[in-house]
Amino acid sequence: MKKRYILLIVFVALIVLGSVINFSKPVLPAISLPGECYPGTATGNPYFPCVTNTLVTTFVAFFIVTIMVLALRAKSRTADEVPTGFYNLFEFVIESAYKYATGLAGSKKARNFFPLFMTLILYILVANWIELVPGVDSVGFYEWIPHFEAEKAGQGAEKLAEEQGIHLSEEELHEIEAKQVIITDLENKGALRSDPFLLKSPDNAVEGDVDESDSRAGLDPDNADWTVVAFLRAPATDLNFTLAMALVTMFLVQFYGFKYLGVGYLKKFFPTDSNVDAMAKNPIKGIDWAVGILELVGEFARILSFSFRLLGNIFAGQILLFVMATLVPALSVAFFGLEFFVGLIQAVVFGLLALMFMNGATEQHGDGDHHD
Amino acid sequence: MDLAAAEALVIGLKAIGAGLAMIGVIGAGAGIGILVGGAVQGIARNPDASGNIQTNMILGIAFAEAVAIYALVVALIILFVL
Repeated sequence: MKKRYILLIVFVALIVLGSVINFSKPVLPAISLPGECYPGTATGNPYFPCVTNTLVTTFVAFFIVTIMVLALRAKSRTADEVPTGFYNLFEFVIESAYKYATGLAGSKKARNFFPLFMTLILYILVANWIELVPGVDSVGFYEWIPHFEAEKAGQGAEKLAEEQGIHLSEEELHEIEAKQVIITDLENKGALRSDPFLLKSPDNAVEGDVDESDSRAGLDPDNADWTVVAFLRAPATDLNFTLAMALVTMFLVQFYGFKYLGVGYLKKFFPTDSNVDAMAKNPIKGIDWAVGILELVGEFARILSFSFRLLGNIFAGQILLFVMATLVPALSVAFFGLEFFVGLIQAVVFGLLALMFMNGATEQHGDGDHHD
Repeated sequence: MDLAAAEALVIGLKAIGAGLAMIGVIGAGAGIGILVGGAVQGIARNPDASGNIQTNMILGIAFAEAVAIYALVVALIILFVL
């Protein structure tokens, strides 16, 4: 049989197997907007609190892109006349992107704009597609939810006990943490509250401390569920990553604006051409100043827009994948396909918008640029 | 009311807040529909320009969808951070 048919059969068999084998309830991975810290990497520095799983994946994506590009470059030195395989595909991508950039900005400007354009596309594409690799977002530290939530809220029973100078055994700690969760069902996971009175042993409890009618009293600690904190998490789910990309892009937009137009770049925002004499001839020109202020605000809004577009798409996609894989494992393949396209389109859109803003910043005023 | 009922109320209100925040995506759906309608009409009039039209359509869809994503981010922040 041809190799591709064997691969197809193996692929379909793996999908069917993956959706059928479901011996116990799948674990919902931990969902949190900030990146989750690796334990034991906390530094005192407030600007770099700890090593997060998103940071690690950022470097993984970086190494993947670098190695891929260097390998392809080495191959280009010794290639045949007719390229084949992945090298062919990559050449097609680069050439069509370069053709698009020259079509938009002209060949001289495109030489300057193309590196950032292509880097953004490649890096963000790899960062988005890493989320689909089996093992990313699903393999990690296996945490017991009450303990995990307590540590996250900074109110772990161990820490509180230390603060109050009480020594408790492992079972007592677990019991307290279980009671701190209101409802132990996975769907109705409640927020955590610390109750210092629970740390007092029955011996030194004061009358009226523990309210026996409290519905949380007596919850079974063994019934609480578990969660997984991933080792690797898609970088774009972290606002730090997307904000960094957006800041770099907008900085370069301003840089190219000054480089091509000099100080005249500021005339976009403060149109000194529409001074009193021009306004005397044509009063409508007075509106140029308002437009300039709006453009200035728009430059900052673009940073937010860039970062939140990418963050929202990938973070919501990640939550969608988690929930679908937990609820309906058999159908989750369709959502992986959706995430594939979302990752691709968001990477391309990020690069395209960067290119268009760079082009718009370097055009003379009145050339008819109406982007965004 | 006792603490458990209060905290259950907080969870319920968070859910209502997230649901209300997502009402805003109606605008994005309408916008994308109008955009794609215009693009399809453009292609119908001039099939040779379909590559150009498609590229601009995808770009416009990304912009319109970004606004829906802002609403989604607010809903997620309400649910998971607040």
